[in-house]
Formats: sequence, C-alpha cells, structure tokens
Amino acid sequence: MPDKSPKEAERLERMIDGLEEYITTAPDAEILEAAREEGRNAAETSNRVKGILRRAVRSHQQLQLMAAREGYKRDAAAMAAAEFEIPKTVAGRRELFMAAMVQLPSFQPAFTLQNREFKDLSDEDIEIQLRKMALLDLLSKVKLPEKE
Amino acid sequence: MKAKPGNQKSAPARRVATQDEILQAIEKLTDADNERLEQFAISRILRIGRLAAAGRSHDDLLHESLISLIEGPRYWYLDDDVSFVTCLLGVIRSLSSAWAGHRKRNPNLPRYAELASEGSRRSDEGKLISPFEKLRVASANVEQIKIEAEEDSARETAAKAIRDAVMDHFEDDEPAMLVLMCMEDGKDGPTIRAELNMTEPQYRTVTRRIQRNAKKIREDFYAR
Repeated sequence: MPDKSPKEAERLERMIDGLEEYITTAPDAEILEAAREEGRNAAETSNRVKGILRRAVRSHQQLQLMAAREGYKRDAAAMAAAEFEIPKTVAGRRELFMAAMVQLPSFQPAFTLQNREFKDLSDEDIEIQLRKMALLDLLSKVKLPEKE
Repeated sequence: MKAKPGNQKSAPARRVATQDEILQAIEKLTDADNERLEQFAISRILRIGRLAAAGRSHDDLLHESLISLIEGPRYWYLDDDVSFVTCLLGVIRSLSSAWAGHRKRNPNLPRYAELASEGSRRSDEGKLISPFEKLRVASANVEQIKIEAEEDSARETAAKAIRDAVMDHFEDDEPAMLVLMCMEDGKDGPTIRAELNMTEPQYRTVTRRIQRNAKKIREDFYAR
C-alpha cells in the first residue's frame, strides 16, 4: 500500500507557507519591530531595496534605448543605401526640408512635437527625413522657394 | 479565469502601469514595504534551494521580479486596486516558483544558471517567453529520472534536517509547537487562531518568534 503520509519536503513547504503568510500580511509596525529585533536597520534596507528596483527599471530603459538606437541605425543605413536626388549641400537640404514642412503640413505635427523647433534637428536628421520622404515619393511635389 | 462565451466584448481592457508609474511606486515604498519585500525574497530563495536558485541571490530575485513586471508576462494592473507592494510580492512568489519548477523539470540542463531577463526571447507576436517556460523536456530519459530521484532524495533529507532543527528548537515552547503543527497540516492563520483559541496579536507574536528562528536555522543550514 502506498505511503500516504506527507513527505518531509511537503511538511516543510506548508510550514514555510505559514511563515511567508506572516511576512506578507503582518502589520507594518510589527514588520519593523521584527527587523529591529533581528538587528536590521530599516532605513538601510529601504535604500538597498529601492536601489535594486530602480536599477532594474534603468537597466530595462537602457536596453530599450539601445534597441531604439539600433533601429535608427538600421533605418539610416537603409536610407543611405538607396539613391535619391536630394541637394548635395547641408544648406540646400535644410532649405528643401523647410519647404517640405510648409508644403506638406500633415508632417508638421510629428516634427514639432518631437523637436519643438526645426532648428533642433541635426543635419543628419534632416538628411534622413528627406530620404524617407523621397522614398515615399513626396519630394517631387515640393517646390523650393524662388531666390530673389 | 476564462471569459464566458459571448461575454468577451464587455470586458474592458485593464490598464497596465507605465515605467514612470512603476518608478513613482518604487519611490513611495515605505520602510515596512521594503523590509517585507526583502524578507519575502530571502525566504523564497531559501525555500527553492541552492540548486533551483543556481547562484542567484534574493537581490537577483527582486531585480528579475521588477523586470518581469515591466516586460511581462506579469503586470501591475492599475484598475485592479492591488497595491504595488502586493503585486510585487506576487511576482516574487511566482517567479521563484517558476525557477523551482524549471529546475525540477530540467535537472540536467545547464541553462538554468542564467537570469531570466538575459535568456528571455520574444515570440513572433512579440510576447516575452521566459527560458523557464520554454525549456521543458518532453520525455525524461533514464539518466534524467535517476538525477531527479537523487534530487528528490536530497530534498527530502534537507527538509527533514531543517524541520527537525525547527521542531527541536521549539521543543519547550508549546504555543509555537502547536502553531507549527497546524501550519504543517496546511492551515492558514485565521484557521489556526480559531483552532488554538488565540487572539490575533497572540498568534502573530508566536509566528514572529517562529519566523525569526526558522529563518536563522534555514540560513545556517544552507550556509554549511
């Protein structure tokens, strides 16, 4: 006949269940009193635990940032590999970009939200955005302002 | 809980806490919350044992639990009226159980030694899959069964040693012995209090005494 008495490991598990129930449900004052009795400094514990949790969030954010940078690099590489007719000079590209912003107003909110002023955009950003617009065949509709 | 057929459209989507909201909740944790979190993490690591923990400390468990709360598959739903600390305690419990479960299912696989966040991958749908969920071995071979049996035997021996040490310690403490025996029977706090005719403060005083000494016995055992 099989032995139906609880095994030692099961008994210990149940005992620990009871003790963990105490840890999770005891009033705050008792938890702090228990810490003092065992010689722990609650403020130090607090700093340590918060530090671990903050670092976890930061490490996750850094991973996200790295992934975003990788995506940006991939986009930039794809744009660079394609052939587009865009001005060769920095000033020319900026002029075309500004003209595109005026003549393609549906694009404006995205840029103004992200960069507040177009002057915040780097030359590289502008080139990438122009290449994206060229890829979508939007630049053919943009006319540069006539020079005086 | 499964949704009832035809009732799926009515269930509103629950809002998951953003990283900023989680950061704010971390800042609001009280000393008691942090003490509770650390003591619970220590207990879970002692509980699952060195093999399942595979070198991971209670600090790693806290770190991984928080990552799991941000990336999933566990989330803090703001509409559920569950505090951040309660939610995190739940994640600590389920993640450490997953480590133990993984170790039990895969006793001879080497990959259990890495942190879950390092070994996780995303499915085609973008869902995060823990390495502890993907490495299940479908059919155990003879060697695995032998390893499992050896581990079961080692676990039983360790459990007996710890339990005996705890019981010996409280040999002359009748209230503690009675509470321990009730806990071993799987009874929860309210049931034990009712059965032993104890007030809540009396029960908590005894339980705190047991907790303090049992923790030390477990720590000493695993430190050998």
